[in-house]
Amino acid sequence: MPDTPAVAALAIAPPSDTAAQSAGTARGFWRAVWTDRGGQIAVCFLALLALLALIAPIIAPFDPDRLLGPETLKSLPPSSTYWFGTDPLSRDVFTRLLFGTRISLRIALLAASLSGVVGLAWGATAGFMGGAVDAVLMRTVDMCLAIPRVLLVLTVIALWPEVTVTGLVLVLGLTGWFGVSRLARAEALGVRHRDFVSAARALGVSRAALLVRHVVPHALGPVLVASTVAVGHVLVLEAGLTYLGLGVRPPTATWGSIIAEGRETMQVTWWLTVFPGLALIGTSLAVTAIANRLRAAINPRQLPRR
Amino acid sequence: MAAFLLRRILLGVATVVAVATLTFVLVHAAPGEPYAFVIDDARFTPQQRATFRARYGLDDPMPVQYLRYMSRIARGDLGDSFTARRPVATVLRERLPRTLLLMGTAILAGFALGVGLGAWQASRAGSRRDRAIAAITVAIGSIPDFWIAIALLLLFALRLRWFPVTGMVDDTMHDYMSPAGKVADVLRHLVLPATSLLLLVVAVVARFQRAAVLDVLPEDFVRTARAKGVPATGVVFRHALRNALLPTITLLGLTLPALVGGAVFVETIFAWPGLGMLAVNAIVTRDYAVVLGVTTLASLMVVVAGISTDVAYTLVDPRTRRA
Repeated sequence: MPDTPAVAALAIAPPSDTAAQSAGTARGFWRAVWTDRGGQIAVCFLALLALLALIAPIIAPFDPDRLLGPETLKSLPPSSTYWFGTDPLSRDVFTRLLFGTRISLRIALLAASLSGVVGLAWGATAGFMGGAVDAVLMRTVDMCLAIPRVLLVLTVIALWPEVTVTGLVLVLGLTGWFGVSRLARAEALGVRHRDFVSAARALGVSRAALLVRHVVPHALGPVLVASTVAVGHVLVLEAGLTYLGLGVRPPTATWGSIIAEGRETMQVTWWLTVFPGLALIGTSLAVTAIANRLRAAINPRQLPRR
Repeated sequence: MAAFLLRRILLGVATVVAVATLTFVLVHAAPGEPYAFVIDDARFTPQQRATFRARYGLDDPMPVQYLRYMSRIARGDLGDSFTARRPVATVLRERLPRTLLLMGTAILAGFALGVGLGAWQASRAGSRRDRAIAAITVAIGSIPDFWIAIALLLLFALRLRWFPVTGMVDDTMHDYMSPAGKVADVLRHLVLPATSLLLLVVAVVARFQRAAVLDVLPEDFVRTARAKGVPATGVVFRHALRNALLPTITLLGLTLPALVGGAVFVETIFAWPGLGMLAVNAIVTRDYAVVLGVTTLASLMVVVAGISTDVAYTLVDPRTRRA
């Protein structure tokens, strides 16, 4: 639907080349994000979270799935032994939160990368080929965007009997690339007739190589921003689905499943709702902060007025 | 205008057809036979099984099944719900108004608050209060919708007991209430779920509206108004805001898919008996026809909202008519 007035009005001015490309590189990424205190806090928070997830088996005080004392240690409030309390099955919530970080972050990162790759390939192909190929590919995207993502995911989950973690990554990743492909297409359209592409074509570079070597790198910046935003979206979506009992299966700990375990006794066991919730909000905030800074670096016109 | 509208509607119809096709493909691509859980029920005799298969045409070739599926949907027949033992269309018709009430309240109140807040922020852009509100809206935008719902439920229903915990009406007392009392009863139940959805709308709209107003402020007509001696707030709210409302209209169509998603979680948490809660329950009971029905209906809603947005935009801004 890019030709409708409403959507066209929202179109963002094409990014300047140098910035768009530099955000695609590691150094450009760093320069864009490590600019102010907000960005630094966000990076540190995520780094700390990733580190905790990585070394969870070493630092976790308990076994995430072990019932500590089914009779006596149920639903204990936070204390010096059980930092974030225990759940109704007497498992340590802090330990489960640490282990949950591993699953939640892994799903979010993998699914967001998957949508980034698929969206980039789809959109860049559409924009580079143009004509009928473009029309078919982008009309497909329009169609998929008309289905609310949550319902699309729910439909797939409803139809497949067992949803494993890998399955969830596939479902979340393959339902998240539609918007990304539009961004990639816009970039590809922009460089399609530029001199360096014509020059490469004149030198006899094949179409596939043109696409991969010359068009895709230009679309990398905006896709990176979109994928960063997607990490936050997937994280929240997975937590929500797991909370409803439709995502990751118990007894595996994820942020959503810990909240779900406190569902029945919420009035008393607030610690099961609050701590995973804060983890979700913090991560989601950090990811948004990073995405905003990347976007500003790619498109300086969008810088917030201070 | 008419040509544009026609093209837009045709595209919308094509989208809905495509969505229905996608659901058909998904059902048949899923492992195992569709409706296997009904057919394989041990209580069925082989003969009953055969009757069932014949009745739903499960032995016909795929293209035949596809055409029948599509023609049924075109006639508004979405199959039968196994759990409700009623046509899916009837169940949806009963649920739709409740979801529309919830989402409509969230959208209207959310846009009103968001537009006002954004304009107010723009009128003092760069001030400490502006930055504080900007930070708050970013923070609210980062809170998962389902977690907002849980937090509101915990705080205002379970702890403070200001509002009812779940449902749309008071189960025992509702039937004995006066008409006005019934309305008040529904409204009381509506507050928390609608607020859960509304907060996200406010966060998005306020951020957007602030930028839109700031974009108009350097324009000539704003300078003219200032030169005429219109007070600062009057300039922003009377002159700038009116022109800066245009882009916000587009948000209406764009936020709908996200709101439908949010409604799934919010309705389930507050047991608000709308489409979202229906979909979740249908998944748990493997009532496929209902899941597919909700998905198709929701897509239809998104398509209609998209077309309405474009039409509204064209009506409000004559400049886009030539496009």
